[in-house]
This record gives sequence, structure tokens and C-alpha cells, in this order.
Amino acid sequence: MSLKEIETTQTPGQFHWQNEESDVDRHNRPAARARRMAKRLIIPVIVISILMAALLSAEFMAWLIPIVLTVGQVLLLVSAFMLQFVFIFWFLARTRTYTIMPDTGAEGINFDDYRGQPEILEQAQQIVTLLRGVKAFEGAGGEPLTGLLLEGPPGTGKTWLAQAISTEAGVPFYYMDASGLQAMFIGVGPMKVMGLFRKARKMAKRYGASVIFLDEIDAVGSRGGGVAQVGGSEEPQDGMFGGGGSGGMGVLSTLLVEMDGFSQEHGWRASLRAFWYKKILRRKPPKPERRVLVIGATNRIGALDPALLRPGRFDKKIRVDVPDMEGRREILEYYLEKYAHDETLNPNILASETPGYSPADLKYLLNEALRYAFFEGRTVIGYKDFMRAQPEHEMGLRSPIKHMAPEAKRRLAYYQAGKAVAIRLFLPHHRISRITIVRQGLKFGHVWHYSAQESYQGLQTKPELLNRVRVGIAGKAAEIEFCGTHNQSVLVGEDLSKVVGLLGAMADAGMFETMGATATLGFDMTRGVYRRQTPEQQHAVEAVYQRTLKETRKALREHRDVVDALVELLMVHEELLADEVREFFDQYGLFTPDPTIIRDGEEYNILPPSTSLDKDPDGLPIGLSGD
Amino acid sequence: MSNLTNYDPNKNKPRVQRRRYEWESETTLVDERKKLKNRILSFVMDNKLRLILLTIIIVALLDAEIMRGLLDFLGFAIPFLGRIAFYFIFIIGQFGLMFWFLGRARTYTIWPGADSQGVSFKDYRGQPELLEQARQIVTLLRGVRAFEQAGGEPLNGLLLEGPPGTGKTWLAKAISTEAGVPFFYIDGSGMQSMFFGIAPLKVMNLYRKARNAAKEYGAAIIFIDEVDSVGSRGGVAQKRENFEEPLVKSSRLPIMFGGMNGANVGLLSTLLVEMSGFSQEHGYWARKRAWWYKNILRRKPPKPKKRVLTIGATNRIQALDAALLRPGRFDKKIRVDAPDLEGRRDIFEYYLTKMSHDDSMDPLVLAVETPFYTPADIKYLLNEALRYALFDGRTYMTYRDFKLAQPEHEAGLRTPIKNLTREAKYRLAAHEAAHAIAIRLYNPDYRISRITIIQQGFALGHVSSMPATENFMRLTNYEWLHNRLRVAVAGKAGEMEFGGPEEQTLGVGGDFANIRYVLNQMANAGMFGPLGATGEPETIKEIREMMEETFLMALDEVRIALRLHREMGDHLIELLLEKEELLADEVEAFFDQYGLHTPKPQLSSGSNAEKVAHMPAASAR
Repeated sequence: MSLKEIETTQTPGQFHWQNEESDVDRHNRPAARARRMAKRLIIPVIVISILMAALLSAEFMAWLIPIVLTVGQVLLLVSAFMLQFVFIFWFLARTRTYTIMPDTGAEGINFDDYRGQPEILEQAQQIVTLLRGVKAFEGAGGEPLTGLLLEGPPGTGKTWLAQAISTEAGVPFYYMDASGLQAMFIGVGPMKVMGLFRKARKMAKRYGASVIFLDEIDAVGSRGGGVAQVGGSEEPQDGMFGGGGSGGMGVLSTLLVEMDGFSQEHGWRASLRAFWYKKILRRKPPKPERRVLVIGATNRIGALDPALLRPGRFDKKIRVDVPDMEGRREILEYYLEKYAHDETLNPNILASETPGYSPADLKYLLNEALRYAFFEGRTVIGYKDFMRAQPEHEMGLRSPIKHMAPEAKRRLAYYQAGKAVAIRLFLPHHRISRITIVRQGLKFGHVWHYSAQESYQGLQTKPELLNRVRVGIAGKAAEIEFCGTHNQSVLVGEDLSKVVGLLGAMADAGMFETMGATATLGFDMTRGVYRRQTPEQQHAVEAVYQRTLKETRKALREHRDVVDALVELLMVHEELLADEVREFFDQYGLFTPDPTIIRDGEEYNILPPSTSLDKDPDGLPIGLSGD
Repeated sequence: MSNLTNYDPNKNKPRVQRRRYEWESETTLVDERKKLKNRILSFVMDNKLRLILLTIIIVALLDAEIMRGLLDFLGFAIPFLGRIAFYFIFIIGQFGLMFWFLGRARTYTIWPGADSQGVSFKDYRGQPELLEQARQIVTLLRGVRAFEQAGGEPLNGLLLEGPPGTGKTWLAKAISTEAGVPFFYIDGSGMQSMFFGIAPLKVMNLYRKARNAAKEYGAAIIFIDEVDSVGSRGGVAQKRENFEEPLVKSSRLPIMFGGMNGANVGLLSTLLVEMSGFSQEHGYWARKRAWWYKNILRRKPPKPKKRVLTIGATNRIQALDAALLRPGRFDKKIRVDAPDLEGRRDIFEYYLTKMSHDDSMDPLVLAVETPFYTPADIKYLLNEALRYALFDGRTYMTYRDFKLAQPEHEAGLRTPIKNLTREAKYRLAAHEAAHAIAIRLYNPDYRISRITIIQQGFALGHVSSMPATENFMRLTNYEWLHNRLRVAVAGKAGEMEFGGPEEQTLGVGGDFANIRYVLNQMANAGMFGPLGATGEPETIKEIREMMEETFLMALDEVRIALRLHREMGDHLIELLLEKEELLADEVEAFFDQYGLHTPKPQLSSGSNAEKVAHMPAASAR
């Protein structure tokens, strides 16, 4: 049956009883309506008639006044009772909100300050334009956005973006940390939400629109208890009093209702308005203007309740990820306008050396670099300050081991040197920015390298991936090759687990003989391995590992002179920075590429010809200026 | 043949001999209480206060002396008693006010005629079966005499369940508008409260309000949104799979005030009682009414009219307490699901009448390209398309705007990678082109709506395709599953064929996960011969080998096919590298050159299928 047919069968009058008067109809007869009306009007009529009588007769007035006063006293007492509770609840339900009103000068971040992700910026600009109310858009049937969810790893600038949106829109901005919505008592949390939305709606009426920003929204919006979370990956939803799931759930549903906008279409004003339009103007009332944009931010979108994510609530989801190289350059340029720095600090180079960094990371790093500069008696940041701050940020405090046995030190040097040489041999497009045997954080030493141009793991080919495996096991190969099989250390742990993870991923992508049809997917982040590989895959991984180890050992054996020279250098200086490493390898014809950027498939060198890293007149923090 | 009229119902009944016992004639204790003496005694005991007062008044009226003494006593006692009474009222009043304050249910009431919702059945599109149910419910709710005389009762509770966004609230709104009765909206969480006992109070208040309204208007509707937040089965929330984690992390102590579980149970049971309408038949007025009918009219009181329909909405029906789901409470359960193809077309038609668009927006094509979309999704998507149009300088949307908005909704923001090497880009193009070719070769009844190598969300590139017509039968077909494998493995085959075996990448992760899933499904369905349910090692090994072999064979087949269509592949890659994105019509035009025609979208695969007259023409980028 098609829809049309069903519609026709349902026209009234089809069945004999459909012409009968129903109960509801009976209650809509004029008499019933009049009764309803009378019931509603009876109190006002009595009050008004008493007042009229009092005005007309002085005697009645004299009689009335004491009564009114008594009633008034009682009412006062009653309202005093009520006020108690109103105060308690008002006190409990105060939201910890930060409000930024437009045109007060308190704002300050605008779209000019949002750098690095032009696509997101464009979306934000469109949202703001529509939030301000574009007649043409609404005339064409469009509705401004009511919910925007920003998700992405921490530090990627979600709050920053939200603030910029509110400034640009020129409307009140309510910032609230969602954990502030949780309350000790059940029922207070929802009340807070309602209070917040009421305030925002009031302001929206005055200013045309308003923005509510709920930070870390997963604190309230996570899937409530019940069978929905069978996976058992979320934290337990218990808590008797609004803590955790139970109270949070109430907050969640209130949030859902408030965002749906149901609550603004009720009350006597709404019915009065509807009456006005229906009876007097005789046309449909215009839609209530929902100009409250709710922006939520979270870094655990998987934990959110699906009801929150459906259109009508958080319509739009924008993933705010770490910026790419171009974005990082823009962000660095933005911050470098604010930080005093010398000309050695080239945003291009810094951007190429900070893959995967978030804007917050970059800002922090510059700040740290400035701290280093200050405690060396300078007031401007140089490149070397940056280079000292970076490993500290990534790995932890630099804590040299003063009393290391010479053999252990030499073995460590061989490990790092072997790795560095393997990088030059197998990953010629990588730049090495640092080789060190000084302990930093938990690492006894490390070789810092990165691609001279941004690369995407999903698009790397098999030979390239195998080269990465070779570099990963080069440290081990060097130990075996130059220190002897019995002198292997357990240093290799982290490198090896990375290699195993990579080999597992390759096996899973069917790069070895077996396709692994029966492998169960599931990447174990903590161990870096695929948990349930097929035996064939495991054999293949083992075989590839043995083969690459042999190849790497052979390659290192052939370049023994380079490794030995590098070890001697490391034993003396303990740490080699980018230009020293480059100089060293240049002697052996293993050249380091300049950082490049690709535009339309063409490579461009991003180093301006005048700036070279080697021309730092101050030399580098740890010796070596003589070389 | 026996005639039914001749049937004697008592024919086969066993004759029970009623035996008499001698002690049966003795008076029982209850009989003794019915003696006149005892009756008078109990009457006096019941009314002793009244009797004493009455005596005092009579005596006082007869004797002026006593009267004077009494008045003196009263003149002294009344102010004193008044003061005590005032303190009592003060204390009780405080509590009363507190409970009144806390017990206010946050309901939103919509009175009939106010019409501020404005959603009627005309606005409910896409699911005609659901609509018909709703119509019938509304008709009966309004009170059809014939139905009730025939013994029927209007519905007591209606539970709407289904995934978010499928229009449960929308349907409830439409029901309230059409019924023309008061509509009380309450959010499930609004009933929770801080103190023990307040939550049931809220429910009772709500139902009292609704019943009063029903008395005035003939019927009333209570809509409880997110009903799972009050009606969830106790203890379910605590059930966990992962026992390693401590169950209780919260350090908050359950001190005083009832706590969540206690309060919730009270809430739920009150809701149950109110929904079954039991509470209507108790209390002062009910007693008076019963007395009136029994003693004065001497007939059975008529049944109280239960004209309060409770509509609940939830997306987690499993979490609901079983008591809520049994008949008498939420009698009727309607699952509101995402609409099918025809429903989606209807919904598109509905929204397109409200939004300006040009004639490239064909509702049927749009419906074909949005499988499993909910009405809310569709509305959002059209709104997004309009946004794209507006920022393209137009105030009406086109098919192309829609095609730009859709992947953004599904995959995420469009973020082209600017610094991709030429080789990497070629690899990506080869991967996607191979997918597209495989779809045309192995899934000829699919339409490709987009091939792109522009990063969107997490996907570096993708091919989106959907069947030209919805046909659920194909899901069970071995051949279809096999073809799905071929399409999925094509990405890798493309990398190997167009780039060489060294050009394999890790970009096939998602494809391979799909393949393994499909293979697993096939194995579970016994498509590889033995079922392996007994877990015999040899059988398992056999199945595993079969799966591996199927996988490898699919890869080889597709590689050979791609080798045969090398020219087409190169051409498509070239086109992709140049344009980066090909939309439906461009894809169709491309494959038409090679005789691989794309089917037209149609409503059903039957012979009288309604074909689409014209396909949208997308403008060039």
C-alpha cells in the first residue's frame, strides 16, 4: 500500500462511527468552553468586584483594610519560608560560568588569532555569519546552527576557536566547564543547566544571539549506565549522588531537552502569543528564534551519548586535529610576533621539526625556550634555546649520568651511532636534529630524526616501511655487530616494540605472503602489537624481522668506519646537534636533505638562502664549536 | 455435526456433593460483632469525640451558668490554643512549602488551541505504518462511543523506542496537536530529585494535573521524554563485563537523603501505580463517590474514565524495567526506526517544499544516496547544503551543494592535503580508481556517487557507492558477499597493478578489516563447507585455509581484471589526479565510455518500477 492510499483510507467518514461526536468534541461544545472560561475567570472577577466595592464604599474599605493587612502578613511569612529554599537552591545551582559580554573589551581573541587550520576557520566564519542571522538564508528555509561539537586531542585549540567564534559574532559568551554541572545533590545539576540556558536565552533576546560553551562535555554527556555500555571501556557509572553516572544522566537529559528547544515554547506567554497570531492575525506564528549556539568540546567523542550527537542537538561535529606543517608554520609565525627572538629562529624550520605538535605544545615550547634564554642572560629566543626546550618537553628533564662505566657508555654510543648511520643509509630523506647519550627523562640516549617533508603513514610504500623497520632495529644490530652478541642490552625495548607494531600492521595489510584472513583486529596500544595474528602472520613477521636484522648488520659492517668515528665523537661530546651531525656525515658523502615543502607535487626548499643553521655565532650549548 | 445451540455447558461438569458440618451453624466471632449491642458500642467508640462535644453543647444550651463558665474557659483557652496551632502550622507549613517547592514537576504544558507546536500529522512523513497507528490511537483517545460500548478501552500507555533522531518527539507532538487535548511534556530527568520521596510526589502531581485537565477537555497526554532515566531496571547500570576495574571509584559517600537508587525505585513504582490508574480509586472523594453509588443509587459505580495517555520515548528500551513494559502500563510499543527508501523520498519532498532549491534536487535520487538516514539527518543535511549554497553566492541549493555537505556530515571536515608528493598522490588515486572500477565490474547494480582523493575526516580518499534500489534479499547471497570482498580488496589490487608490488601501502587497513569481517560472517554462515561449531582442530584449520584461499583468490581475480582494464584504469587515475573529485554524473559519463553503464535509481526492482526521468546535472567545479 502506498502512502497515498493509506491517506485516503484514513479520511474521516469512512466508518460509521467516525461521524459521531467524541468525548473530546463534547468537551469542546460551547457550554463546556464557557464553563472552562468561567472557572478560569472566577478569581479575577471576585477580586475585581471586591476592589470596585471597596472603591465605591468607604465603609467597606474600612472593613477590608485590616483583612488585607492580615492576609498580607501571612503572605509575607509564607514568602519568607519560600525564600529560604529559593536561596538554598540558588546557592547550589549557581553555575561556575564565565561570561564574556560583547563590547566590553574582555574578549580579544578573534579570527585573526586563529591560525593553522584554514578549513576549520572557514567553517567557523560561516557559522558565525549565519548565527548573526542572515535574512536570505532563513528566507530560503535554512536554520542557524544550534549545536557545534568540537572534538579532537587536547591542546588543539578548541576553546580558542570557541572564543574566537563568540568574539566575531559579537554576542554574549558563556563558558562553562561541564564538570561544574555535576552537583552533589540529584536535581541540582539539571537545575544548573536550565539556569544557564535561561540566562543565555535572555541574552539572546537582547543581543540577537548568544553562545554557550561547554568544555569537556564528556563529563556530563557520557553514555549513562545501563546496557548501552557493555564494552566496559568507560569508567564505572556509579555514585549515589549525582556523581558519575546517575546525576550526570539527569544533567544529560536536561541538556538534551534544552538543546532541542522544547522548553522555550511553553508557558502563558507562548500561549498568549499563539492566541494572538491565531485569532487576531489569523496566520501561523513565526518560529521562535533559537539563536543560542551551544558549542561543546571533548576529546573523547566515543564516550558521548549518541542522543547528544544526533542532528537537532549537536548538529555539526568538527574534528580539530593537530595542524599540518603549513599550519604549524602559521601558528609559529603568530606566536613569534609576540615573543622576542633573533633571526636564527626560522618558523619554517621549527615547523618541520615539530611534527604532530598541537598549538598549545608550540606555545609552551616557545615559552620554555624563552625561559632558557632568560637564564642564560639573554632576552630573546634563539634556535638553540628551542632545541634545548624541545627534548625536555618530549621526554622529560635532562639528567646526565655522571658515573657511567666506560664500557656501558661506549655501548650506548654504539647503539645511538648505529641508529644514526642507519638513518642516513636507509632513510636518506630524513634529517637528524640530535644524537645524544645524555640521559633525558627515561631515555638513556636518543637519535632525533624526522622526515624533511611531511609524510603520511597511510601512503608509505612497502620498501619505505621496511626501511623504517631497519632503522628501528639498527641500534640492536650495532650492539651485536660491534660489541658482540653477548653484549646486547635491553635498551632496545621501546624501539623493538615500535618495530613489532609496524611489522604487525604490514602483515595485516597483506604485505607479506599471507593475507591473514582470520586475524582478529585489535590494536593493543599499550603493547604495540596486534593481539590475534594468525600463525602464518606471526611466522612472516618473524622471518621479515630476521632478514632485516641481517641486512642492517651487513650495512653497518660495511660502514664500520663511519660508526666508529661517530662513536668516538659521541664519547667526547656526548651530544651532537643538527649542524654537527650534518657536517660529520657530509665527510662520508652521506648528505642531509634540506627541509622541503611540497606544493602541487613540486618540492620547494623552505630554507631561505641567507639563513643557514651553521652560522650561529654563539656556538652550541655543549662544546664542539672547534670542529 | 453438533449444533452449537444444543450445547449444554453443564453437561460434563462433575456434580460436587456439598457436605454439611455440624459446627457450621455456630455463630462466628464476626457474626457476634454484628449483634445490635456491639454495633451501638462500635458506633459510640467511632464517634466519641463528636458525642462528647454534642453533649457539652446541649448541656450548655440548657443551662446558662454552665454556658457562662464555658465561654470564660474558651476565652482563656482559644488564644492559647491558637498560638500553639500557629507554631504547629509554622513548622508544618515550612515542610509543606518545601515539599511543594521541591515537588514542582518541570512540565511544559501545551493547551489545545494554543497550537504553538504546529506539528500535525501532515508534517509526519516517511513512515506511513507508524502514522496510521498514531491516527488510530488519537481517534480512540478522543473517545469513540462505539469502541467503548464494544468493550474497548483507549490506550493507556504508548512507548516510542528507537535510535535517536528518528522523530519520536516529533510524533508525540503531532499526536498532541491532532488529538486537541492538553499535552504535558516532562523530561525523565526532571522527575529526579534531591530528597527521598519528592520524586514520587512529582509524579503524583503531574498525574493529578493531567487528570484534572482530562476532566475538562475529555482527555490528556503526558509525554515522558527519555523515560529510561526514571524507568531503568535497578542494578543494570552496575553490571559490567570488565571485572578487573574496581566497581566503585567515586569517593562520595551515600550519606542521608535516600540516594539515587532508593529515590529511583520510589519514582518508578509511583509511575507504575499512576499509570495503571489505581490511584484514581482511592482518597476522600473516591470514598464519598462509592458511598453515594452504593447507598443512595444502589448500583455499581461506573468505571472511572482513564483518558490519560502516557507516551514514553526512549532509545534504550533494554534498560527499562520489565514492569513498565507489561500491558496496563506501556501497553503499546512502537519502534520508530530510520525510514526506508520510499519514506526518505517522502521526507525529502516535505523538506524541499520548505527550502529553496533548483530542479537538480530530485527527492528519489537523494533518497537513494542516503541509506539509513534518519529524518533529523536529512533535515540537517539539507540545511548544510543550503549553507554551502549561500556561501557560494546563491540562495537556493543544488545537487552539488548536497554532495558537498553529505561527506562532511558522514566523514568529517574536508581538509585537502597540500603537501602530498606526486607519487603518494598517484598511489592514492590508483587505490580509489581500482575500488571504483571493481564496483562497476562486480556490483553493477550499484551507483557510485563520488570518487575523491581529497582528505575528509580520517579518510585520505574514498569512493561512496550505494545500491540503485533498496533490496534486502541480496544480503543473504553468497555471490553478493563475494563481490563485496572483491570490491574491498580492489584498493590493494590497484596499488599493486598500477604502481607495482612495491607500492603497497598501509592505507588498506579499513578495507582489510571489512574483508575479515565479511569472511568471518561467511564462515559463520557455513559458506565454506564445514560449520566448525564443534571446534574440532582439523575442521577449524580447514575453514581457516578456505578463508585464506578465498581472500587470495579475490585479490588475484581483481588484479587480473584490473590488468585487463588497464587502459580504463590509467584513464581514471589521470582524471582523478587532474580533478581530485568526481561526482555521480562525471563518474557515470566516464564509465559510459567503456560500456559500463550505471543503473538509474528506482523505488523497487519490480517490473513496473518507477524510473527517474532525468538525472541531475552537476556544474563543473
